[in-house]
Amino acid sequence: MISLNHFLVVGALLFTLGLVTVATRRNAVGILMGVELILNGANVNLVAFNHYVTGGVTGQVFALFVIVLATAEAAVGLAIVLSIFQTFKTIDVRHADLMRE
Amino acid sequence: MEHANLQVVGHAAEELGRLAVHHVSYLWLIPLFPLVGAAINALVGWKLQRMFGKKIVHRIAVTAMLAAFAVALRAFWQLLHLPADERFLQDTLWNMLTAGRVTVDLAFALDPLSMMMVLVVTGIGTLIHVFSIGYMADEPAYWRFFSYLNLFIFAMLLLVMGDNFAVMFFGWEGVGLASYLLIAFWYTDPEKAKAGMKAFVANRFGDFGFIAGLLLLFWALGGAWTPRDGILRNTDYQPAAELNAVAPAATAAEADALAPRVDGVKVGPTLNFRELRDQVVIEATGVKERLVHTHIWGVSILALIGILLFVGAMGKSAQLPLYVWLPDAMAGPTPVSALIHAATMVTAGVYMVARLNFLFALSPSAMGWVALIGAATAIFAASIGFFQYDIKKVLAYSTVSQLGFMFIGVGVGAYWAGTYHLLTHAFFKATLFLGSGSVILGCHHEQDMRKMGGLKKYMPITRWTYLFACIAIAGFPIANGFYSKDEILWKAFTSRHLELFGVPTPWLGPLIYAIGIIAATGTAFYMYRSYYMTFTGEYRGNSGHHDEHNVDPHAAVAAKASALSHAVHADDGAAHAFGSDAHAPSHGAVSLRAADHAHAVHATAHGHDAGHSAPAHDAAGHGHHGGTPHESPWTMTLVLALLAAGSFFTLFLGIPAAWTHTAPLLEHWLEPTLLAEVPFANVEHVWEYVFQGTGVLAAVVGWLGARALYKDGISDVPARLKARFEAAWTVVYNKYYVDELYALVVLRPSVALARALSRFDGTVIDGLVNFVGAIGRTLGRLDAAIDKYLVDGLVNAVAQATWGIGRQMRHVQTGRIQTYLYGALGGALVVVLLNFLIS
Amino acid sequence: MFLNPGNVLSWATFFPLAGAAAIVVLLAVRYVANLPKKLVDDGARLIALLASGLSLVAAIAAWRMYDPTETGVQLTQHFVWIRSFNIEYLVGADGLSISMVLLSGLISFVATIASMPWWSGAKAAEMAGMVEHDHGHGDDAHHPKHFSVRMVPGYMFMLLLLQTGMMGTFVALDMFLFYVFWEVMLLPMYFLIGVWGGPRKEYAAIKFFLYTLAGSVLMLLAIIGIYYNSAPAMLADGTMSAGHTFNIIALGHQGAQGQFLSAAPILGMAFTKLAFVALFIGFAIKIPMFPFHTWLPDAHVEAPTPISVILAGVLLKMGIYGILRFNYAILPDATAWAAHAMAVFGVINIIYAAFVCLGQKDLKKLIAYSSVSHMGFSLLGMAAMTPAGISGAVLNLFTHGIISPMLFLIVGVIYDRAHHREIEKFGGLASELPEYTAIMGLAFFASLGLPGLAGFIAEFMVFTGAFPVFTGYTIISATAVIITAAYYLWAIHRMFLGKLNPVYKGYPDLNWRERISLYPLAAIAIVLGFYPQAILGVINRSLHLIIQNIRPL
Repeated sequence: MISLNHFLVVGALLFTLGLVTVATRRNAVGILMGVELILNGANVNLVAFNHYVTGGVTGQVFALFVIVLATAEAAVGLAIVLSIFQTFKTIDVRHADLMRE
Repeated sequence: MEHANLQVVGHAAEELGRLAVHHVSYLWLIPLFPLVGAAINALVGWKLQRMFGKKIVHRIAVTAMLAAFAVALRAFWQLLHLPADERFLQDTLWNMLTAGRVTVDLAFALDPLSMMMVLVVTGIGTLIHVFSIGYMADEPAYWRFFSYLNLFIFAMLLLVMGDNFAVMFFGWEGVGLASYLLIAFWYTDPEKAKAGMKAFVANRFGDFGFIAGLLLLFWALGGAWTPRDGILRNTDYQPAAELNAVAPAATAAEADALAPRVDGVKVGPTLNFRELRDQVVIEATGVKERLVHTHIWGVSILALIGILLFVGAMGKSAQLPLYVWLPDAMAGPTPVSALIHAATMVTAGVYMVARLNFLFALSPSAMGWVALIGAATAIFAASIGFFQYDIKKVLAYSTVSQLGFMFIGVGVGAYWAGTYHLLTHAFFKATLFLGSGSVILGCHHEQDMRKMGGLKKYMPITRWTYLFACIAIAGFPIANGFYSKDEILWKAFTSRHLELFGVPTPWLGPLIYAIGIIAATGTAFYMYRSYYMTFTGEYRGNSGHHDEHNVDPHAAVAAKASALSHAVHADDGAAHAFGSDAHAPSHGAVSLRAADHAHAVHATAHGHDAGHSAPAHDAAGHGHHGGTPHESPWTMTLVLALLAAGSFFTLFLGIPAAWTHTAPLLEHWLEPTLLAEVPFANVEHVWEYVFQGTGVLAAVVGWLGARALYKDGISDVPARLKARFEAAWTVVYNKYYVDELYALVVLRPSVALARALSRFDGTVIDGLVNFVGAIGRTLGRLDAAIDKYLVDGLVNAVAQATWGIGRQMRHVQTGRIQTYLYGALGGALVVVLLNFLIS
Repeated sequence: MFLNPGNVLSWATFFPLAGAAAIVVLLAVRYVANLPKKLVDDGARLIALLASGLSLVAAIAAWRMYDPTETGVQLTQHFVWIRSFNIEYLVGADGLSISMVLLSGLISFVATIASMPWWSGAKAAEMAGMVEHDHGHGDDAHHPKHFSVRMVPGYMFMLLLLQTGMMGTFVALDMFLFYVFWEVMLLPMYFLIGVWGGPRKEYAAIKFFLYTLAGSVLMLLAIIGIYYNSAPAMLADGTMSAGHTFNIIALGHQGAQGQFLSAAPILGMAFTKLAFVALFIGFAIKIPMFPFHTWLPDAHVEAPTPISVILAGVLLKMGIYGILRFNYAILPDATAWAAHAMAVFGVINIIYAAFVCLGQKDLKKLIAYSSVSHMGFSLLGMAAMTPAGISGAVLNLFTHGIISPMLFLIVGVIYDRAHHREIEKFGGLASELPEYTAIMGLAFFASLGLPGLAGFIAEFMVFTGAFPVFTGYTIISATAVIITAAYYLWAIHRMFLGKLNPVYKGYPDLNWRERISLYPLAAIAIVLGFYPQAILGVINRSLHLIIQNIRPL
């Protein structure tokens, strides 16, 4: 029987992978993808807790919101990446450090 | 002209009443004419002189004088036709000032006394103006001279015509100014300029006394005063309550309305002579009673008033000890000496005492002092006069001495006699001075009698007039001097009422008589001495060693002079240097009689002479020092003759009562003014003849003595006497060192004090201010330092720290998203850990 | 009519200010239109002459409108200024003020004339350094440019501002307004001395400024103290908003009724006495009274001639004016208490300064100290509080206000030529400058109190008035007639008589500029010498009113 714990482990794995991706990737698109993983890790948790603990549809609705948000985020993020590329001729985030000073 | 507007308040005939006043409206013209003359010559005189020549200048001046004289005669005519006790003309121009009780009108008054003075001033003044035409002919600043002369006459007329103390004081100081200007007329010579300054300042000492006396009088009459605790006030004297009130008046009408009256007589403080006279003289007002019994600081207030006012007279009339300026005043042109320093200005003090006779008569102490100082001055100045060689100096000391006689007269209470001597002196002394002026001009601006002699041959008119004036001053009965001097001395002898310090001194009168008769002998002696030295013998101006000095002063004495004259001369010279130069070591100068010393001295003496004659250098018609003397032009000799004639004719004004058994003309004329009753001892008339005889004897003795010693300059007795009494002679010749004494006692301490105070002001007072400033500045600096290092330092430190931290923190900010992520992770980790640790 | 009794004093006060504003406009126009410097300079001069001339006209009109037969304040104009403190714009004049208004207008105008380089002869102008574009007269120490051609618009602006301050001080009847005008005077004076003055100008200017300011502070404290102890009075529009008043007339009435006697003592000292002392010191500095007098010689010596003229002619009068207006009128009891001390200070002023004069080497310093001496007469006269004494004291203000400007103008004449003032270095000037010598003689004799000239009457009245009250002091101070004569005559002797010092050969005599400024004053000095009632008739009633309120303690 698949219990809540299994879902939580999957969610945690997804989150961790996303976090590592974000922390280590130098490619801006990669980082965006890492962010998607983190968000989906959270989505798994939301749905699982909704199913096993509370019942109803609140968790699912949250997850849907997150998906929509992730889409929007991806759109904006990609636009920014495009802009970074136009400015720096690269999408390596190490070079985009104008705010350092 | 307003007509005789009579205001009389009737009183019993024997009792003195209020003065009847005739208001007229032309008196102001008398001083106006000279003022206009002075103004014209002062403002445009130089231009007129350049355009039209000198004639126009003296025509303006003399015309002004004649006009004034004419108006004065008109006034005299009017006075003559009034009853004796109504002879008082008054003319008010405007109210000068009013404040509280002080109210002063610019007003003129003529009573018999001031009428006499006005006639003398304008009459003799006119003559002296005419004389000056000739005397000053060579003067480039001719216009200035006549302007000053007219100004002087204006001021003198204010003095004698003033209806109140203030106008009199205007004149009093005005004549001082004119005198200053005229003494310092040749201002390029520092000595002459200094003489002018000396005259003015010495007179200011007198003025101080005058003002103090005036204030005291004003106060004694009940001047506005408010008693306050802790403020000095007169505790002895409580004026009537109504006088005590502060009644401020803003206008003359208010002041008049506020003034309290007793029997219609205004009482209380006043500066007006007539109001003063009325309230003092009329017994009913009680003012006299109060004044006599008032004491201040333990002294009778009347005595103090009298003495202080007399101090003013001392200055103006050159009495001891303030006479020092008069001999120096001879630096002015000779007509000035005649007009101002003999005939008119110097008699102002006598006039003032005579004018206030009713006041002085109330205080025997004040009278005693006046008489005593007069007598002391008479003998003192006469003794100096013995040994002077400058002809003008002789006359100057003679003037001082004669003024002493006048003060004896007004001091002992013989007011009319003192005034009469004033008149006679004006004539004969003017003659003498103008005669000396004529001589000086004739001898080409030489004033030393040793360089004259034998002038009777060259200038006969001058000689005869001079001789006649000598007769007059010596006191022979054929000229006016005898009558006035005799009357004064006679009255002095018979006066027993004088006091000193409030102590009766009946012996004072006879003592003064004795001093006076000795002084009279001396007068005869030195006047004849001057006559003989000047007019008899050989002319010494261009012969003998004096002249040689012009060529070579060093060689001259040694080569030519006889042994005797050499010694005498060296002597003179040494003393001369000694007198003129206070820095000369005195004992050395006297003991050193070596010839070379005399040389040096003569060189300086000659330098002086050159200075004296400097103004004449512009003259075309005048020869050089040492030419032949000549008689002066007719304008001058005419004046001399007129004045000498005046010296004769005025004797008829004072024929003694002993001869005619009626009062002398002048006494009768002056009676309404000189009303003070002074008790004289009752002496047999026979004695009066004896005293007259003594007077003549004194004159004869003086004359014969001078004749024996100085006639024709042949006697060697004077030189031997001089050698015998070397020390005494030196002291007298140097005027008893009074000038030096003044320098030592007054002048140098004042200047030293002034220097010290100005240094004190610059260093201590100003130093204090600067010190306060410095303290302020130091405090400021300290404050600035605190501000800079402490307060500001703290602020800066905070700023510095913030800045430094920020600088370090900046490195954290990499701009890389991953770094921030690590930060966020680390932060979350810390939170988690803390969560575990705490719970 | 344009000038009427309701506004004439304001016109007299604000004409100069309007002139100052006009000069500012002129400067603005200069930058816009790029006018040449000479045009601007001459324009500023013309405006100054016009403004101060109009002010004089208004002052004379006020003098004519004033009715001397009435007591009390006339020619008033007032409106509410700061309602919450009961402060009003209140101007008016009594006999004391009106005489000072006339003097102030007159001396201001004379000073303005003396500030012009016009009408000077070519040689005199060249010697003085008045040539505007001349490289020979740079700003080097030996031949500094004449003040009348240096920064002209600024100078004229300051001069006019000063005139407004002076006039305002004399007409203000509101304490606050008075204080404002008093301070308005200070600043222009500071700049006029500090910028256009002589070699030690900064020192003198700062000394003047700080000294006077120290006095003003005390004065301000006293004014505030008086305000808070006063009872209220109606404002111009018949309302009252604060419980106290600044109105000097109302305060005078209150003071006469003893309003301030009940005030709480401060540090154990009665309020009236403390206020008196504070006010007195403030004013005494301005008189100037010993020992607060040392700013005066420095300020005079460094100030340019017209400023010295104003300083001696008008500013010194404000001390005495202030004491009469404030101390005497508002604090009569304390005045009676302090009378003796005032007399003592008066005598010290007279004698001490006279001796200091005798020891002076600098002509301008001599005259500055003679002012100190003469102001002592006013102190003595007013301390006596007799009608003659107080009238004499104020007459002395007026006559000294006529004579001392003459003296300073005279110093200016010789300084413009010789560029020094050392008495000893001159000699025999009478031969070369006869007209100058004559006018100098007139001024000196007027100052030493020769009867027939203005100075004497005032001295005489002070003596007569003070003698009954302060007999000894009066006699002591009368000795000043001797010392004064001595120092003046000695100065004449050293400077003008004797042989001409050849250095001064060829010096030009008076030029028209100097004549225009000197002769009117000389004429007034002579007229007042014979007819002082012209002034006395106007001031008498007001002054007697003031002393009537002073009861002996």
